[in-house]
Amino acid sequence: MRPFTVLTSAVVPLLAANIDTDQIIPSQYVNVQGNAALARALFANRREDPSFVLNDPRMSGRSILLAGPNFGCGSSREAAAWALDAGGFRAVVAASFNETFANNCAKNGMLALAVPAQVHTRLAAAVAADPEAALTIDLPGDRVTLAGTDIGFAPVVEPFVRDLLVRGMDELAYLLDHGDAIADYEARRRAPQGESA
Amino acid sequence: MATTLYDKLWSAHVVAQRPGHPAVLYVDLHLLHDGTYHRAFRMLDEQSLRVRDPARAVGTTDHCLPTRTSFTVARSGPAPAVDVVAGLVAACERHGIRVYGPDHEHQGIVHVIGPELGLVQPGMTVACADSHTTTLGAMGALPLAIGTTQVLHALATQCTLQRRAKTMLVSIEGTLRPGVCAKDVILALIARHGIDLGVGHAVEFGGAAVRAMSMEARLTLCNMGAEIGARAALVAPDDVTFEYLRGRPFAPSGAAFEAACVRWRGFVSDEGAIHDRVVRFDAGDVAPMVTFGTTPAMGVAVTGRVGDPADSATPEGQRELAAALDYMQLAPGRAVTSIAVGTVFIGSCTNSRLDDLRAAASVLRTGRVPANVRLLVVPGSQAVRRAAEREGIADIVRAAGGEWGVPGCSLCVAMNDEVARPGEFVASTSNRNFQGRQGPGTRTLLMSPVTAAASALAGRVADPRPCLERQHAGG
Repeated sequence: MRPFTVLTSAVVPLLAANIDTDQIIPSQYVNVQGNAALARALFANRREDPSFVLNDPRMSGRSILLAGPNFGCGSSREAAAWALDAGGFRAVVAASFNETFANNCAKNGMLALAVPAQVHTRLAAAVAADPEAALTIDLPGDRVTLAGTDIGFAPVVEPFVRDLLVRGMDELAYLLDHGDAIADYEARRRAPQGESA
Repeated sequence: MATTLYDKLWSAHVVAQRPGHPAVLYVDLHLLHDGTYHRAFRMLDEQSLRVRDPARAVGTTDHCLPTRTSFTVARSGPAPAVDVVAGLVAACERHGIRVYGPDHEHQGIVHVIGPELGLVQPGMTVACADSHTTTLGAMGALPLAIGTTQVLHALATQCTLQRRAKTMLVSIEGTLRPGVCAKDVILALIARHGIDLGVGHAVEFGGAAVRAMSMEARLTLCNMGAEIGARAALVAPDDVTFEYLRGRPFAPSGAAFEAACVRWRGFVSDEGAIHDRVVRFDAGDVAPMVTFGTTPAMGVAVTGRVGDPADSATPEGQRELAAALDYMQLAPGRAVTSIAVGTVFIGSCTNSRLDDLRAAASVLRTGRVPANVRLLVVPGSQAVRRAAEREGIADIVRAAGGEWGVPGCSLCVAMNDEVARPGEFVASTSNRNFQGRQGPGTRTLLMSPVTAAASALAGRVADPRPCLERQHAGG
């Protein structure tokens, strides 16, 4: 997995509340293979609307999505994270996330960064005033800044997730490291009265 | 110390936990389906990993299985269903995992067959790559809704990394009025408390109304736990649970069953156990519910009217409802019973069990569906299909002018060649009314099986109670 270190990009604003994963990737595309197909599937139904933000040519090449509350709600389909990744996004900054969606992002080297309401309001206003403003997320340096403004804050990311992202590691290695503990647990459970299932 | 049901389930399955790290949590049962498996098996093969315990996994085909056509001819769309369905069967067989393909007697929607076969039992952890895994908490098991990467983790290590949730007790009191189903109760709860009520929490449903519910009604209730953002939904197991499990193919039998019941009885929140949050809800005045917007919270009694953005408490709420009504092309204040429906779908992991279909049939037997309305009834599993056909339910559906489908997710998820027409209103017993959920431009109205059946006969959203009362009066 690519390490996530310092990311700088203008943002794509998509601030409506409760953007669900059926919008991010409609179900008929969930099993498409390959990045090109996933990128085409990203917000496929929403893109039918010419005024949808991703149809704005100025948004092309941007790698940070600025979203509203409860982003990624609904279906747990990990393809929502894959489609955003394929579409060039490396981070979603939102007022809040669906937890499964945020977990799925982390497992694919993407940052799902929830920011406090007050910070979110200031970010959204600043981006509305200057859509070209570059947001820098410095994960190792614990700093998020918006160029040309005084907005700057420390991102709140669970240390375990932050560490994996910065090192470009996945959780599987961590779990495989627990092979002995898993075997011990299974042995305990096989003992009389231990089996609960 | 008095302990909650969630904490008992959690503690019993923690394999290891380092300070500041998520817990390594053991998965007793891993349910696989054809919706989201592909990348997990590919990564397993690429890394030359083996499935740690194939006996703890079971696969079924549901999401991509066509409802009407033979599955071998379903080749349209960006990811042909036939390849996806066949791919799961092949992957499971290659790794020695029990799998129920399209024609297997145990095949069905993953959240239907888990309880129905007795695979899901109280005290277990059950992982499945689907948000509606919350359903299975109705059995007193801890449901783990995971992503595809975690499918890989569970296959390779029989564990996933999990963070302990906060606990919430939703105590549902009162007696349900005639014509009111578990679906109505949960839609009313969501309308009252919003779609983020359960975020960060394992939600235990308790109270007199839940204790009085059948197993199937509890499964409906917990299914919609996903729609309040809950990490897990739970109901403490009791005699209703045990009697439901007795005699199921994978449940213990004989003396082992009686011993299991004794053990299972321990999986309840102790008297005096403290939940992080308690919500009380009176189900006694709930009426049949219908949604009119694009989240499950945008719902109202069937006798009510489409919501008005002007009544929203916050500017965000106003904008959200206005956008939803713009998508739905519904004017505020319009009576919901004036909405004409094009398709009626009775099925899905929410409402496709035998009780659901019996309830729908009790209404459908009283009339015929108008020629301009399509009624699609899809049993949740082969076992439900067989039982419903034996009881004459399939005949009632057909006599009313409806279609009787092949068990699967069908029109709930629209990834199986089954879609509604753009712009069409779909009266649906499924769980999500998101934009485009049942096909691009479709407009979903969520409701119970009896309300959907009454709406099918009326050709518009209809209150099921007059029909049910007439039958009751007529014996």
